[in-house]
Amino acid sequence: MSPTGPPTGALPSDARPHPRHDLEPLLLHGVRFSVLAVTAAADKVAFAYVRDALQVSDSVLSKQLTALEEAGYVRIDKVADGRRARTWVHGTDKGRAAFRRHREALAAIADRV
Amino acid sequence: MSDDMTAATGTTIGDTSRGTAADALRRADDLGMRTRQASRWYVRYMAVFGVGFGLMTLLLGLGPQDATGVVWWTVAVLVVWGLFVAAMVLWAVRRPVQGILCGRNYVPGWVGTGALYAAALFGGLGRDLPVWAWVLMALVVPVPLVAYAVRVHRSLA
Repeated sequence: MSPTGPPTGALPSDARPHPRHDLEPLLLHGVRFSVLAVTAAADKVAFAYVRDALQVSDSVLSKQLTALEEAGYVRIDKVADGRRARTWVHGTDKGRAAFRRHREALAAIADRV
Repeated sequence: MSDDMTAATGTTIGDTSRGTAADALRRADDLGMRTRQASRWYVRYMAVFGVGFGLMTLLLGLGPQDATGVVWWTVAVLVVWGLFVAAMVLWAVRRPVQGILCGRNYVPGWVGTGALYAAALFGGLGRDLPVWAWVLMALVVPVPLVAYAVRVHRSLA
């Protein structure tokens, strides 16, 4: 018996996958996405600036920065500043590209009728 | 607060609906805009340096012209300039946001003012130029840097 049409529930051949498939899994976490929103807009930002902008604690930010650094999305530098160390968060090209893809996917979802 | 819910976004975006996507986008755009605004200090930095180059031109050009006087005057002005540059650089490196627009994209402004400054000093010193000529050069030297400061200001508006 030959099929007379697509099986029930199958996508039409010209259907495009839902844009949620283009979301970056690592950036589904709000803090991580927000960190990349900040670093995508600058060469580098101070840890304290990111913490205050996102209104999170040092420990929460440190944990998420570690995850982003392991993925190659940010680079962390500690620079001596007097007797203290100043921590800088650098956006990487890989991180900016991931942020752009995730942002475009969110825009596609938001615009989807 | 769950791991996927944050004060920064206020929403869980693991299960993304149109509403949460729009909300996450709006907050991300707001954070990006505020970060770009926080790099506005670079506008003041360039403008102040431009005015500083102009003042240096004027001070060196209108200083004593005799052999002994010109040496001491030049040394004194350069010491003040060195302290000014050191203070400016120290202030700049302590800004919490180092903007993506800083530096490389505005090199022509720095090079332009630097070239005009060098040309004014090499072309004018020791030639007994009138005061108006030095005032004119002091006004022209900062133009590239101030023009790029205006450009940065407009790009961040």
